[in-house]
Formats: sequence, C-alpha cells, structure tokens
Amino acid sequence: MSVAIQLLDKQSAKSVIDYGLFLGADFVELFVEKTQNQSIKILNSKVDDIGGGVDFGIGIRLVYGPKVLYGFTNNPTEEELKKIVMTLATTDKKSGLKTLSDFTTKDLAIIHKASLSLHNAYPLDAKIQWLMSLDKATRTVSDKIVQVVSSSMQKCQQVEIFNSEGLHISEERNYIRIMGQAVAQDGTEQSSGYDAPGALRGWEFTDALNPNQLGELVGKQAMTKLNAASCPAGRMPVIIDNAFGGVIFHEACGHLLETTSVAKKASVFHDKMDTLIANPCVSAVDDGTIENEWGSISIDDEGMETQKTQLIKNGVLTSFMVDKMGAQKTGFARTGSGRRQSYRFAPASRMRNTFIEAGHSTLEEMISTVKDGIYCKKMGGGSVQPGTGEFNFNAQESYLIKNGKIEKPIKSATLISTGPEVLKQISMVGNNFALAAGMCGSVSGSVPTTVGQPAIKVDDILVGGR
Amino acid sequence: MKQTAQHIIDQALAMGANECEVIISKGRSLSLKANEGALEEHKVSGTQIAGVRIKKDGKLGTSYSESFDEASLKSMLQTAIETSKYSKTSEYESISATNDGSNEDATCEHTWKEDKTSDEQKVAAVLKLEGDVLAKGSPFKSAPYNGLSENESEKIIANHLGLFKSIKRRYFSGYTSALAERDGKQSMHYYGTAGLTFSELDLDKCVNVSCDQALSLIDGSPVSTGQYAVVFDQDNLAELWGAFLRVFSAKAAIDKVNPWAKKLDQKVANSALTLIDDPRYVGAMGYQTFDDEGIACHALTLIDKGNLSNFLHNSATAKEMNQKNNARAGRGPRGSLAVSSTQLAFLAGNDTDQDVKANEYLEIVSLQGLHSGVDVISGDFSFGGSGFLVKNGVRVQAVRNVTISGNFYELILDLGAIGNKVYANSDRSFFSPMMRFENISVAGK
Repeated sequence: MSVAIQLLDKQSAKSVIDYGLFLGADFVELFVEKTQNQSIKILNSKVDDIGGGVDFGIGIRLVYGPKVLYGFTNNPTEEELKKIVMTLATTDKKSGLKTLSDFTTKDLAIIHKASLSLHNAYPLDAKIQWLMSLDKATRTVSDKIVQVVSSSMQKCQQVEIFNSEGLHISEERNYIRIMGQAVAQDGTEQSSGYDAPGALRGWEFTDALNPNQLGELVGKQAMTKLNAASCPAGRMPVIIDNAFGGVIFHEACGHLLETTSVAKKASVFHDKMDTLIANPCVSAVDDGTIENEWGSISIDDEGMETQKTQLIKNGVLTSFMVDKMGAQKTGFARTGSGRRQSYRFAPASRMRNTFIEAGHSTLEEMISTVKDGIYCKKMGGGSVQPGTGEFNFNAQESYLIKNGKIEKPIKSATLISTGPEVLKQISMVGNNFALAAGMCGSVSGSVPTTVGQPAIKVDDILVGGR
Repeated sequence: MKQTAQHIIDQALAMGANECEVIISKGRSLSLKANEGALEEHKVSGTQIAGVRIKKDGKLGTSYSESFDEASLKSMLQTAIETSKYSKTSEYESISATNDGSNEDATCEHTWKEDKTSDEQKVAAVLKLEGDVLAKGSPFKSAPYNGLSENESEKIIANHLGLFKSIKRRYFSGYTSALAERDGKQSMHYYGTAGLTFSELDLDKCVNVSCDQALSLIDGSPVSTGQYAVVFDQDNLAELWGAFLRVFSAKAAIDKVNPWAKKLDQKVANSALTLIDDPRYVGAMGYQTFDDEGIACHALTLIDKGNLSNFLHNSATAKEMNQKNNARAGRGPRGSLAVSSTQLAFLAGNDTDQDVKANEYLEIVSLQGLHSGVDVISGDFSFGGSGFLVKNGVRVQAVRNVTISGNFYELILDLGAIGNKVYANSDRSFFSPMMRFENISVAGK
C-alpha cells in the first residue's frame, strides 16, 4: 500500500474546488507539493558545498473550455487559495451549478521503492565518503586530471492531487543522481569528461554503482578528448552508440509526439497517425512503468496511473503522448503523460523513459559498414524547434571511422537535422540496448526523463566540426 | 519581511550559529499565453522563500524554506547548522558585510515604475500578438507560441551585523513566434521584448521580426562547407558571450575550472575590445546597486583593450586570491555564495558598421544548441545556425541547416572588426557593438 501523504486537508481542498466550480469552471485541480532536497558537492577533494531545503506550494488549475488558468502559492490557507481562484476566474467566471460530492481516495501500490530516502537518517559522512571515492578514482586515471567535481543530488517529492472529478491521489517520488566531472590539462589544451547516472530511488542506488568505474569512465573521457583531432565537417554516416545516444530520438522525435505541440499543429507529425514516419527497423516506446528508472512515475502529475506507450511500431506512428488538455484538444486518449517540474507549472504532455527498442545488429557490424564517418560513443545534450522539427545535439566523445574501423578520437561534433529526416535515415538498429538519465526542459519546466536506445546507424546526417 | 529576517537571525544565533545572513524574496507574477484566438493560459502566482547562510565553528551551512511557519523556519536553521558540521573549514568565507551608509531601499526608477495597465489590456495585447502574425497573410500558418508576463519581486538581505538592504523590481516581457509554411517547407522564428512598464514593450517589433525572419528563412538551404566570416545579431551575440562567462569567475579560477585563471593582465581578446560589467547601466533591465552580500557594486572593467583586467569577486574569493572585492557576490535564497556578472556592456570599437559588414559574411539570426554545444574549458563550440549569406551589403542566400564551429578563445583574439555603435539585445541585458568573427568553420553542403 502507499504511504499516506496529507499535505492539504480534504475539507479545504473540497471548499476551494467547489468555489472554482461555483465560478463556472469546467474543471478544477489542486496540485500540492512538498519537496525536500539535499545536494553535496566535492571539489578539490574536499566538501565544497552541502545544500538543501524544502519547497512547498500549491498549484491551482481551472479549465474553461479550451482555456487553462493556472495559479500557485506557497500559502496553503483556504482564504489564499480562494483568492487565487477568484483572480484567475475574473474574466471567465459564470454561474456554476455543479458541486463536488466527495473525493474518492485512490491507494496506489508502491512500485518504485526507496529504502534510503531523505526520510531515513542515512549518515551524511557516509555519502561524503562515497563521493570522495569517486573523486579519488577519477584522479587516479592520469596525473593530467587537474580537477574533479563529484556531487550528489537527492530529492523526496511528495505530491497530492485533488480534482473536481472527485480524484484524490498521492505519491512520494525519491530521486537520486550522482555526477562526476573531470578536467584534464596538457599544456594549454584542456578537456572535460562527464557522466551523471540517476534513479527513482534512495541512496541505495549507489550500492550498484561502483565509484571506481564511474571515476575511470569520466577520467578516461576527459583524457581521450584532450588531444583529440578536430571533427570533420559535412554530411556523412554516423553510428550513435547506446544509452545517452537516445537523445537523438528524444530531440528528433519525442518532443514532436507530445500533444503539447501536436494540439497546436506545431509538430510536423500532427497529422501522421498510422502512417510510416520512420524506417521500418525503428520501433519506439515511452514507458513510465520501469521499476526505479529515473524517468518513471507511478501516477502522472494529473493523477493518472502511468503506462507504457508504444509510439512507433516498425516505423509506423502508433501513439502520441497525451495529457488531459491534449486529449481534450486532439481527441486521443490520455496516456498518463501529464508532467510538470513542480507546483509552479501547469502540467503538459511530456516524456518519461523514452527509447528505441533493440534490434539485431552488433556495434561492430554497424561500424564495419562505414567507409568515412564518425562513431559517437557518448552524446551530450541538444534542442529541437517543435514547429519545424529542426534539432541539434552535441557529441561528448566521438571517433573517426575510416574503412570500417575506428581510427582516432575527435572532438566538438554537432549533429543537426530534422526529426522526419533522421528517422528515415536510420538503417541499422543494434542489440546493445541501454538507458541513461537526463533532464528535459520544456513548457512545464525541467523534469527527469530517461533516454535510451541500442546503437543505431544514421546513413546521412550533417556533422559540424572544424 | 524585515521582522521575519530579524527573527530568523535571532533564532540562528540562539541555536549556536556565530554568523548569519538571510535572503528573503517575495514575488507576484502574471503570465498570459494565447493560441488560436483565445487565451490558452492565464497564470498568477504569489511566492515567498527564505534562505539562510550561517557560520558555526568556522564552517558554513545553508538551507531554505518556502514555508514561513515557525516549525519550517526552525527546521531550515537546524538543517543549515547540521550540514555545516560536514563542510570544509572556511578561513576565507565569512558573513562580514556591514551597513555602508547607503540607502537601505535601493528601489528606484531603474527597477520599478508605476504601471496602471489593467489585466484586460494585457489579455487583449497577447491575443493581438497572435492575431497580428496571422493577419500577415498566407505563408503564416500559425503563431504557436505567444506570451506576455508581468513580474514583481521584493528581495531583502540582512545579517547578524545589522546589515539590511532591500530592492523591489517590476518588469514586463512579451514574445511571439511565426510559423511560415510554403511549398512543403516550414520555418519558425521567435522574438521577444522586455520593459519596466507595459508601454515599454515593443510588441509590434516582436510580430514584425518574427514574421520577417520566418519568411526570409523559409527557402533557406545550406552553404558550402568552409570557413566564413560571421556576424551574429545582438541576441545571439549575447548568448554566445553568455556561454563563456565562466572565464571571468574568480570562484571558477579557485576551483580550477576557469581556463583564464592565470591570464590576469594578459591579452585574451582583440586589442580594440573593452568589456565592462555594469550593474548600474541605465536602461538595462537588471539595474542594481548592491550585490547578494549587500555590498555596493559599481562598473567593473573585465577586459581592457584586449587584456583580462579583473575577475568577478565576492568577499571570500577576493580574500582567497588576495584581490580587491568588487561586489559581484551572487546568491539566491536556495544557494551558497558564488559570483555573478550583472550587465555586460562593451565599449564601441573603431570600425564602422559598414566595416563589420564588408564583403562576404554569414549573418546569423538563430543559434540552436548553445546549452549543449559549448566546452567552456577548451573554448570549443559547435551548434546549429540559421541566417543569411551576405555579399557587399546584399543578402544573397537564406541559410539553414548548417553547423557553426570554432574555438571562442581563439576567435576573440582575432576579431575582424568591432563596430563603433553600441546596440542592446532584445531583453536589454547586453550592450555591444557589432562584432565580425573571422574564419569560423561552417558545415553545410
């Protein structure tokens, strides 16, 4: 059974919702959030900063037809909440006849367990010790590693949702993310390496995370880039490796399948349901149910239980990611995809754990098919313009491929294309599927999302280099 | 707020803290978005947050709370004191600012102006933004993103030594986007505006720039791969410099993540380049007279005729590097003490705008991927761009789907020309002459 979370008493919630209905709103929702944060940063092999605090606030959403009115406050009194409702409804209010009879409280089974959340008094010095191990392991890679930053972020987000359809539901989400960064220097040349695994769980996540391996990974990444050659520029085939390589799908396609842009017809895919939008070797999923995965949830931020959504099957568009307003505007069924950073944002359709499903090729087979191209082992971030599908993303660690073999490391590669174009250019899908944690910024703020894929081959894409 | 701050300080000292500083921020905002002729989003907020920084037994601790009830504030202080036990002993960082005799209340005409615009007028304005884009005619399929917002905030800084400073701000902003579609090709462009009052917003310019650029770029295509001279528009020039601001941070120098850490008084840029960080730049949106430790701040030259002349310091970094504190402390209620720049203002250069735009160059009006395509340590950057190929003052080709790559630190040493007129970016936070960057790698066809 779920942990009982009571951040706002039911009677106050009912009174505020009834007031919204009295003012003629079609739908009223309260999103109550209390989030405890803790961050630790190790720099120069010493504790540089320990921070933390508590966020608390209530978001109020009123819906009049297609229009969303949204307000938020840190003051949970009934008087303040009604004041916000009244301010929001100033220009739209009309006589409302409905009232809410009562809430039906839904109990959720805990899917994503966290044994060492911020509620547990796990000793700070043990966390510091773990991060110190990461610092040490990174410095051990080379005496050219001149700086290391190792840090952790933990968050315990409690949400309680009430709405005028009688829904009352709550969830506690425990997040942890570990970050390692290395700076290498050789003369005047400098480079950096970075990795940041995360999960929807407590500090016990570090039990399965070896600080020596993580340190070695970021240290070697910085060293590889230190004297890397410049990246060639122009159109060429690119092999994008697994895990964070999935950012290509996230940017190129995922954002365009959110009803946030589909409903506005600001997505190039808005009228492409049931049509072939990708090479038939591509199948893709957005799955909020994966146990303890960084982008998972039990309920979305509109109170709907999460689900696994097949977005593309064998190249054919099979579903969008749909939130409540997206469903109202497009007619597609909700997929439990309404997400928001915090009570400060109205929910919007957003990604959860989004990935291309595994294929059959090995990485070596893919590389062997490339005469002149690049292999992007580790991708960085990127962005997309929803209206046109134009995207770009940066490769953190890349290598030149010549005659089917990896030749040497290169730096500063940027890949740019459009969503529809790149989906058709994927010709091979690998069998080495993996996921990676990231943060996604969009209209409803920055939310934890997981990207993922096996290695893929893109036959022709524009690469920016020097 | 003053009483709340004093109460927190008294409690902190009673709980054993030796020093205490409090930042309290309260805000109110209104945000409106339009879509398809109707108000799509109407958002209001009332927020508050208190952040505390304490020093106990030589160690620093921070915490914050958005809840102001007694139990929450006490819990905030307990967290700060508890976490301080694990912090490094800081011989340089202390809470030492005292009242300097300047006005406690820094609210002035540069941060706050009366505005009587009604909510109905604001709603009408955001609907008009979208309507004006669509009224431009057939290539404009939609204006999917339109918004107008008003933000008011009040911030106070107080400490155990009796320092008390406050500032009140209000600003308005608006933006729109135009999505053009013709012959199966699409192009979208955003433009924004900001002002201290509603009437300072140039909403017509938002519409015109968004439409003009979207339309001009619709038939854009890549140029041939090669080296080009590049002139960024003011918004993108601001973004580009903004991506590399860490080079001025004393904190980053101490932390060994500032590639210019050992370049003080050395040549880092073209000798015609002078950059000033000016918190009191009149007409800028972020006007301020004191930093986040409550210390009075003034204009500071960062690059003087091409030489790195100062780092941005707070009291701790200045002490550690044995340099003068120039009052660039940056700290929000949630964070620990850092440094931050204010408004960047370059002095005019020696070349005319015609010199900057001579012969052939790429005029860049949109950059994509700035947050991910930059390596501050090495100076390497690579991002997507759109704009125009210009020859002898004439746009001869709309350019899209190209990547622009280079090393920022090498490029600013070799700027081809710096204009002799200074222009503001659209949100009035960056003031600069035009700059011509030579030999940027552009990947296209």
